[in-house]
This record gives sequence, C-alpha cells and structure tokens, in this order.
Amino acid sequence: MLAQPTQKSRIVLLQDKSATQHVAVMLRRTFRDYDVRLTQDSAQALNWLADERSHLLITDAQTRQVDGLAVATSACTRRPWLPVIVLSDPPCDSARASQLSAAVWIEKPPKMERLIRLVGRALSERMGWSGQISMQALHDLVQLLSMANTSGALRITAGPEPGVLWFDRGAIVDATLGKLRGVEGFHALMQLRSGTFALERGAQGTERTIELSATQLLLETMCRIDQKREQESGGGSDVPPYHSGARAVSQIRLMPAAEEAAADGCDPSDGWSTPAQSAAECFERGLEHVRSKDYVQAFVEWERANALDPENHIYQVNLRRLRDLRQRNQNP
Amino acid sequence: MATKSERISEVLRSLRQGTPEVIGAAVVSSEGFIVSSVLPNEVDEDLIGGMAASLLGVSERISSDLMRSQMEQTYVRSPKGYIVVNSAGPDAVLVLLVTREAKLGLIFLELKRTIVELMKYI
Repeated sequence: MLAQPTQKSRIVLLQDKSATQHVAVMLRRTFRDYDVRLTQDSAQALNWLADERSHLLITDAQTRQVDGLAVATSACTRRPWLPVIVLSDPPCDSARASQLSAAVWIEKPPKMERLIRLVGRALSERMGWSGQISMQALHDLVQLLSMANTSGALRITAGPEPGVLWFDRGAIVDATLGKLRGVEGFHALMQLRSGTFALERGAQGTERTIELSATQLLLETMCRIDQKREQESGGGSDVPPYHSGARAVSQIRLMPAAEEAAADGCDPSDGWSTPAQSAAECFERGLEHVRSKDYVQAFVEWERANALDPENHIYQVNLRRLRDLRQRNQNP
Repeated sequence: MATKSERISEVLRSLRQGTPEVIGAAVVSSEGFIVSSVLPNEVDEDLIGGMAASLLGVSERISSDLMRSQMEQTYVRSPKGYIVVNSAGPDAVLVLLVTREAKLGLIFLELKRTIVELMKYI
C-alpha cells in the first residue's frame, strides 16, 4: 500500500524538452494523490526536492539541457533516502552513478507499465510513516522517537505554517514553526493541539539550533502546558519566557509537587513542595510504570526524579539499568 | 507524609541497626530495579540489582521446573559471608548481605519479620 501523503506529496520529474510529456500525464493520472511536477530546470528541481513533500525524483541522466545525475546526487546528499529513478541508457559514468545507490535505472524511452510499477514501488518503500496526532500524543511521539535514537525529520502540519523537528540519533537538534526556530520553535510546536505528521527517516538538518537534551525540552514543555491549562481555567500567571535550560529545570522543581498538593487539597508547605519529596513520588510512579511494563513512562518519571534529586544514587542506578535494557532490546 | 520507598528504607534501616551481622539490605523489583536500599558505600548498587535479578531468574526457574513450586528463598555462601535473596510479594525480593559470623537461624527469623513489615508497603 502506498504511503498516504499528509499534504499533497510531490513527484519531481526532471526531463528534457525533447522528452515526451506523456510520462507526466500518465503519472498524474495514476498517482492522483501526488502532485507531479515537471521541469527542465535543474535549479528549480533542486528547489522542489529540498522540500520534504518531494517523495520521488524521476530524471533524465544526461541531455543537452539537463544534468540529471548532478541534480540527483545533490538532492541525495541532503536527503539520503530520497528514491530516484533515472531514465537513461545503461550508465556510462560509473563513478557518478555509484553515488546513487538508491537509484533505479530504466531505459529510454521507458515502457509506461514498467515505469508506473517502479514509481509505485519507490513510493511504497519510502522510508518513514505518517498519521494523525492529538496534542498529548505529540509529546509521546517525540519522546518515543528520541528514545528510539531516531535520525530524521518529523514534519508537522497543523495550520498555515508547517513545522519540522529534526532528530539526530535521538537528540532534538533543530525545530522550526514558521519564523520560530530552535527551542522556541520546539515549544511552539508542542503547543499545537492537533495535526498531521510524517517522519522521514535519515533526513538531515542544516544546522544545530538546540543544545538541550530531549528530556529537558519535554519537561519544560509539560511545565508550559500545565501553566497554560491553569491560565485557561482562570488562574495562574503568564507563561514565562524561556531563557535557559537551567532556569527551566529550576522552575519545574517546585511546580509539579505544589500543583499536585493543591489538587489533592493539601497545604504545599506540609512537606509537599520539597524537591526530595516530589522526586520520591516521581520515582514511585516510575516503579508503577515498570510493574505495568510501561518502560517509556518509567524512564520519564525517573529522569524527572533524577533531575529533582540528582544526588540520589538509586535513581541513577535504575536509570542506567533502564537504558541498558533498552539498548539490549535494540541490539539483541 | 512519607512515600512507600521511604517507609521501605526505614524498615531496612531498622533491620540493619537491630542485626549488626546484616551489613546491607535492598529491596529489588523482579526486573532488577532497586526500590530501596541501605548498602555500605563499597557495595555497587548496580551490581546488586543486576545480580539479584539474575539470581531471582535462575531460582524461579529451578523452583518452577524442578520443584513445581514458587521460589521463596535463595542464599549464596562464600568465605566472606552470605547473600540471601527472599521473595517479598510477587514483584519484589529482599536481598540481604550478611557476614560469615552470623547465625543463620536468627537471620532468617529477622528476615521473616522484616518481610511481614515490607509487605505492607510493597
């Protein structure tokens, strides 16, 4: 089954003017969910291919007007998993061809049935997945991707401005939502209530704008969401501007315990608001999650406990053990 | 109000204070995670958790496969002392590090009492 595009995904067709237009027509007719774009301009093709919505490149290898191999090589440098179909006689430039290990070669003029079969296969084998999310699930999704040591781009669409989260081996390295970028971009993304997402595995960002760990970012996000909820329910103060990771963590230290105490009708001064107390609670919640085999949530709770009480040896030991278990599960 | 793990710590501390032959004690979950411990500094908690989980796994297998019963207690004796692993409910075990000079009968008696106390919180 083909990957369902979240917005109209693109197939970029880079062909010489002399080539028949009917390839584009046939592709448009067969792959109606896709935006098939035809161009003879290499620069324009590269521009389209830089967009995450471009899922496939079909190009002439080399003609008088088009250096398709150069375009494909350049596009694949940025997006290694981009499938490429090259229309050509068998490749003569083996050195350049070898850079395109993911490319499929098909002789010109292509037999339409074969080309359509190849395009269908390339789109269905495309690395990544897409789906629907609700606000709560977005944290879970980001957390899961981070814990799974994912590298790639998580593209989020929830309004007029598209957002992208870049992962590098589990670390969140860049985030954009409209003009917002970095940590602010990340938090703006996390405030989105619903939308669609698509993950492109292996895609690489251009720049690292976030240095904080995923845990720190997610803790800060939860803190902000709690504050926002409080505001919406009529109380609380303004959401504070983000200044640094250290400040974010220090804010989190006292807040959850105080909120929980208030929710339970307890006096926060009655031992509830001390960091050690709330750390112990986080730890116990983690233990409950371990009992129910929910190791992801256990990890979050223990990370929080560890952040609240970094001197506690038991929290560190258990976190280490959980990480070891995860690694063992990943590399049995 | 103390949390469960803090109460478990108190039980373990009082066991160690009342029985000097017990040099360390830990409650470990069946997955090998440490719930609470009072261990001397030179003892690696990481190791205790891992070893307890391994020992528990093997002991449970032996109990169920060879004896068709649940594991209650396992102990390892070395020239330097004993390690006693005793089940504490379905999800946890109590691990005791005991000196070689200890009288095991008394230790087991204390162990029994401690388990009853611990079961209130586990």
